[in-house]
Amino acid sequence: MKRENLAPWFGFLFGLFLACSLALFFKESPVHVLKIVTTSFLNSKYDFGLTLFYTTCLIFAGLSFAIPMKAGLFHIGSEGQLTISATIAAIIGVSFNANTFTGLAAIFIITILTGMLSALIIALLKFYRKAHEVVVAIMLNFVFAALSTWVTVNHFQNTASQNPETGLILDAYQIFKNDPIKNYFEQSPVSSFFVLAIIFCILLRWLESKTLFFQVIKSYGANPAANKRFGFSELKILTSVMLMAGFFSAFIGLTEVLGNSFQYKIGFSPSYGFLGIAVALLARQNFIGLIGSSFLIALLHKGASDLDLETQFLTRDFSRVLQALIIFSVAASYYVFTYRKRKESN
Amino acid sequence: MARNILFILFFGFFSTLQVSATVKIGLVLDKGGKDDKSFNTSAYEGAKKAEKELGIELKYVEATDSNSLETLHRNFAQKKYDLVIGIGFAQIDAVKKVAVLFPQTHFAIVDGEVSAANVRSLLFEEHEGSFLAGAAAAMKSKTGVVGFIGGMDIPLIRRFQKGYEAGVKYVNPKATVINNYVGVTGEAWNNPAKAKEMALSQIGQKADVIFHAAGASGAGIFDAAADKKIYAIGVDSNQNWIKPGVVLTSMLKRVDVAVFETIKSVKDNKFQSGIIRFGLKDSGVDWAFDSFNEKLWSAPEKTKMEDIKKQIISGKIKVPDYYKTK
Repeated sequence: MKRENLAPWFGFLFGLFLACSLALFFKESPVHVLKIVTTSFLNSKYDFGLTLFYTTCLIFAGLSFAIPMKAGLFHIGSEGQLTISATIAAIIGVSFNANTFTGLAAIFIITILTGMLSALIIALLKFYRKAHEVVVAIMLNFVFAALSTWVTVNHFQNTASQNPETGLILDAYQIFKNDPIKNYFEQSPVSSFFVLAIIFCILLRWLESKTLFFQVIKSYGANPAANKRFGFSELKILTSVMLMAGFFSAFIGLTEVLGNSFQYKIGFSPSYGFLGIAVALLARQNFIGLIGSSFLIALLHKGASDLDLETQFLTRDFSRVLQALIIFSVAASYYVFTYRKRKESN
Repeated sequence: MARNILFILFFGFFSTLQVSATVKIGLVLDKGGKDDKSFNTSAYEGAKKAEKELGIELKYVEATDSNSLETLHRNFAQKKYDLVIGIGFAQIDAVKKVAVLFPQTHFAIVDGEVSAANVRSLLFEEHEGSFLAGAAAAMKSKTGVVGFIGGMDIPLIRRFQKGYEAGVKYVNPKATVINNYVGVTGEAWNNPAKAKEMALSQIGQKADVIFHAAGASGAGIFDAAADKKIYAIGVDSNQNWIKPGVVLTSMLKRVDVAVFETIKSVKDNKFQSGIIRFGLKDSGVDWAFDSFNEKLWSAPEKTKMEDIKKQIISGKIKVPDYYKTK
């Protein structure tokens, strides 16, 4: 492992240390805070399962950010893509009456297509209109959120509930209710999608080392102009990375609708799309490293919500501070670690 | 010396005994948080009052996302809290699931129905209170145009809207009601800037009284009303104090009373499960009249309001309920 690759982990530890010491200002023991944040997932199997559920979603979100990042795109549109995907998954689950196999196949295929197409918009606008991907993604996030809410509230609202949400998907499609992983973790949100997420990471790692295509993407990321000169199609690269990003965003929607709540609830995502950025940066877009960093961020997300319960003065807002400090120090660590190297090369 | 140690030991023992004897209450607030000056604040104040007056041990938490709700309820139950109160309809599923797993723990839920032997559901007749708000708006409007600004476009807020419209038409059948919703995502509860723009646009269309049911976004509506010198009507908590002279009245939803009474029942060992409805007749829903807005109301107007209130209670006025007529 290269030295710089270790940098984010040092940054992570430093950020955690910094955040925990902040607790001193609130008359809480930093050790106590650290203990809650890092071990709260061990309270029960359910808590552990919840952490793994967050991990699953964060792996997908991280992949959705990491792949375009390899081509130099800063993709923050995952949030919108997962929202629209979850909505579509739930709508088909509610309204398409078929046997388990056909129904599930339809849900999977259409949801994934939705995610991919919604991400494709970003690539096309970037290529044809030279629109910056960040701006497009921010706008699309809102467009998709508004669209999902409108469809949900006006056409598929669960009449048995006050919550803005769709009805439950048909019983035939709720096969992940009896999932061995879910059963083991006392019916917590985690499901077999966790295994799938890990398989995807390994597969991508393998593809990255074996195929030329990923090298082309990386060379595009390093120098788009040179890459064009070599005769690689820019359109092909942009569309394929964004399609892959959309593919993984769609899986967050599937994880939620098929594996957790069996319906689309407005606002189900604690901004996975943005946490995904932290996950991917922490792992420096390494597909295997993503698994570890997702687990760490999931752990913090879960632990931080328990802080509120376990301490007297810290509230859920502290979890934001914690995440911010960690992301900040991870970003800084890379700079610090490569300082000498850059100095030499200058 | 030895005696001192003995004393400390004894005292320590005694105090731990006392701690274990106090009633422990867990309060799970909605995403809005305890400082929304509205719905959650009301619940928080009720629980705080109980802490002060009944000597219970209170711990409150705020949800970070909808999956964490269930964990929070579970954790409270696991820590042997006597009563866990969920604030807001978003927690129905969590309470439903956790209440089955912990039959020894008492649960209460505000704004939602959960039928289990250890759950008390606290429901409010918001449409009745909104009807009064509508009547107040129509009475005070000079232009005959009044506004309604809801937070997120969901059935619960439509219920406010429908009651309000009925109240306006009851007093002035020719009046126009302009309806707007701040947004379609949870962000709508916390976007005072956008709410202010909407209020200004409604004022541009000649609205001169605006009722809001928009949580923390309401602050923007109060601002707009103060700038343009029109009236606004508050919601959930008594918001008359926020801008005296501008806030005509507030439609009270006494979540604080509901929370307090529930805690008291646990403390007195008289907890009963089932649905408890709070309406105008038991002052669970009401209009706010206090020192901050008394100058805005003349005696006959006040009498008229009280009269309408009495008629709703006696059933003479039928207030349309969005849930039933949808």
